[in-house]
Amino acid sequence: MSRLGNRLRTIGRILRHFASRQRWFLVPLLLVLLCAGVLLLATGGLSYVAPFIYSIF
Amino acid sequence: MAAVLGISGEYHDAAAALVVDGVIVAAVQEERLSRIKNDARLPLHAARACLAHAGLAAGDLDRVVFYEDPIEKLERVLVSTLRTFPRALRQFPRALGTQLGGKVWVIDRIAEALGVARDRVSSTEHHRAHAASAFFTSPYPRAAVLTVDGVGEATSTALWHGTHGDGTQLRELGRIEYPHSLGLLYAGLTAYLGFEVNEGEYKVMGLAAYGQPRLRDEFARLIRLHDDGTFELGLPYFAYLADADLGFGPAMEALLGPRRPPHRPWDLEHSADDRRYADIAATLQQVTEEALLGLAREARRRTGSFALCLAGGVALNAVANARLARESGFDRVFVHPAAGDAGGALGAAILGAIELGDPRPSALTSAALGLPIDPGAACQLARELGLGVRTAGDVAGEVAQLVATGKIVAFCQGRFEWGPRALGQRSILANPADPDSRERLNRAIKRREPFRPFAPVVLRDRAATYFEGAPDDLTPFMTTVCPITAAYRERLASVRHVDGSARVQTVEPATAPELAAVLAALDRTIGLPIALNTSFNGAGEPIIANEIDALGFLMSHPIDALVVGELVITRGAA
Repeated sequence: MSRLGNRLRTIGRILRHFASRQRWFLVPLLLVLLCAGVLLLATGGLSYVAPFIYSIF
Repeated sequence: MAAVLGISGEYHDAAAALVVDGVIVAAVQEERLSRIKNDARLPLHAARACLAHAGLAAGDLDRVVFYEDPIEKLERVLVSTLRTFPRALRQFPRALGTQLGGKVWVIDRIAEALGVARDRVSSTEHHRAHAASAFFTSPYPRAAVLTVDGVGEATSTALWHGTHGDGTQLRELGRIEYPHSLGLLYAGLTAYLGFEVNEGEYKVMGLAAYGQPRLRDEFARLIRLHDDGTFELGLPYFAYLADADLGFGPAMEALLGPRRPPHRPWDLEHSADDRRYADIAATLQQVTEEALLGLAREARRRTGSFALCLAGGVALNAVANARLARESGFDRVFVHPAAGDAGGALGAAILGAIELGDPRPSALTSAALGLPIDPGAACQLARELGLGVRTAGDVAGEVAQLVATGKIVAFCQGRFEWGPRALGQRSILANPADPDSRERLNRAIKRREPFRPFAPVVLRDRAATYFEGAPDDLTPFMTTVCPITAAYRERLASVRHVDGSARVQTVEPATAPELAAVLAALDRTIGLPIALNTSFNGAGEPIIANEIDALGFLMSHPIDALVVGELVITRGAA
C-alpha cells in the first residue's frame, strides 16, 4: 500500500508540474506514456539501453 | 546538524556520497562495488557502504537528495519528442522503457530501496549539483562556476556565481539548453571516431595530439561560437535528437567522410585514414577548448571573480583545463575530481546539508573518500591462496627498489579514490625513466591504444623542476596537463605524450604519506621523485576496490608485486 501511495504521490507531482508550467498541451502525450508505462510495468519492461539514451530519454 | 545522502544514477556513473554535519564522510561510485564499468543502476551498494562506513543506518538520514529532477527531465523528453515528430516516433518504446519503466519513479524507488521515509527524499537540479560539487569542495570563498556536460534536465551548460560569507549560495547567471551541447558534440564525434560513448572521450583527447586541427571550416558548420561565450550546434549534422543509437547523422559523414569502424587497430604511421581521424580529433579538441575559453572569459567578465570552478563531464578534459588555467584570465582554477555525473551525488548531498543549516565542507585536499582496503584480510586470503606474503620494514624503500629495477607494482593504501583517476590509493606504479617497464605494462596489462600516454606522479615541492606550471589547484587531482621541462623531456619519455605534455599528479606527505614516501625513496634510488602511475585495473574494468579484487588481479595479471598497507604480496613464496 505504501508503494502505491508513493506512486500516486509522484503522479500528483507530475500533473501539478505540468499544470504550473502551462504545459497542458503535453498532457495527451503524457497520458499515452503513462498508460503504456503501466502496461510496461505489468509485462516486465524493456531493458535495452543505447549509447545516447541519456541524452534523449 | 544533519546526515545527508546524495545519489546520482540512472543515466551513467551512479554514485552515493554522505555528508554528516557539514563533513564529507564518504563518496563511492557504484562501479567500484558492483564491478560493472560505468554502472548506471541506482547505487544501492554504494549508498549502504557510505552509511556503514559512517556507522549510520538509513533511518538516521535527515535527507536523501537525488542529483536531478526526474519530472523536469520527463518534460524535456516530451517536448523534444514533439519537436522532432515524426522522426522520434520510433523511439517511443524506449522512451516508455526508460522513463516510465523507472526514471520518473526514482524518488519513490530510492525511498523504498533504502527504507527511508518518502518525504525525506528530494531532488535538486542536475547542473546545480555539479556546481555545488565544484564550488563547495574548492578552496575559494567566491568563484565563477562553469558546469558543462552532455545534458542535465534540459541544460547542457550553466554559469554560476558561488559566494561564501554572508550567505553561502550558488546564483545562476546563465545557461545553454539542449540540444546545443559541448558534451554531446564531443560524444557524437567520439562515436564517429569508433570509440565507446561515455568512455572513449579521453581517448579522443589523447588522439588529438597526433593530428593537426586542419578541419576548422568543416567544424564551423558543426558548431558556431558567439562573442558572448554561447554556442550553437549545427543540428542537421547530429542524430541524437531522434536516435538513441547514434550521436552523428549522415550529414556528418558527408561532411567529414565515413565514420571509423569501431575496434579497428590504429596505425597512425602508415594509414592516411587514421591520420585524417587524428586531424578530426585535433580539430574537435581545439574547438572544444575555444568554446570553453569563451565561456570562461564571459564568466570572468560577469562575476569579476579571480577563481574558476568547473564540473560536468566536459571538465574531465585535462588538456582543455590546462588551457583554461593559462588563458582564461582567472588566477586560480579548480576542477572537482569526480567532475562527471558521479560527482553530482556529492553536490546533491552538500546542497541538502547547507539547506538544513550545516556549514560548507572544508576544501577537498584528498580524493580518498571511498572504502578502506583491509591488510589483515588481504594477508589471510593471500596465505589461503598460497601466495607469498611478508610485512616490509620499509615499504616505501622496497617499492622504490622494485620499481627502480623495472618491476611493476600494484600499490593499495587506505580508502579508494573518488572519481575516475587512480591517485595513489589504487595505482600501478612503474619506473618513469624505463621504456621497457612502460612497454611491458601496456602489452601485458593495460592493452591501451598506442597513442594513449601514461601519467606521472611527482612530489609536490619538486614538481616545478620537471613540469612547467606545476603545482597548482588542479594537479593534486590529475585534472590538467603540464609540459615536461626541456631538461627532462628525454628521460621522462615513458610518461610524455607526443606533444611533450604529461597529465601530472602532485602528492604531498600531509595528504598521501605512503605514496609521498615512495616518491622520496625513488628520488634516492633513481634520482627522480616521480613514478609512472596508472589505474589499478585491467582493460575495460572498474578500478580495484578491496583486497579480494586486488588479489584476484595479482593472480590473473603479470604484475610483479602487490603492496597492501605494509604487506608485500607476490605470486611466489615470500
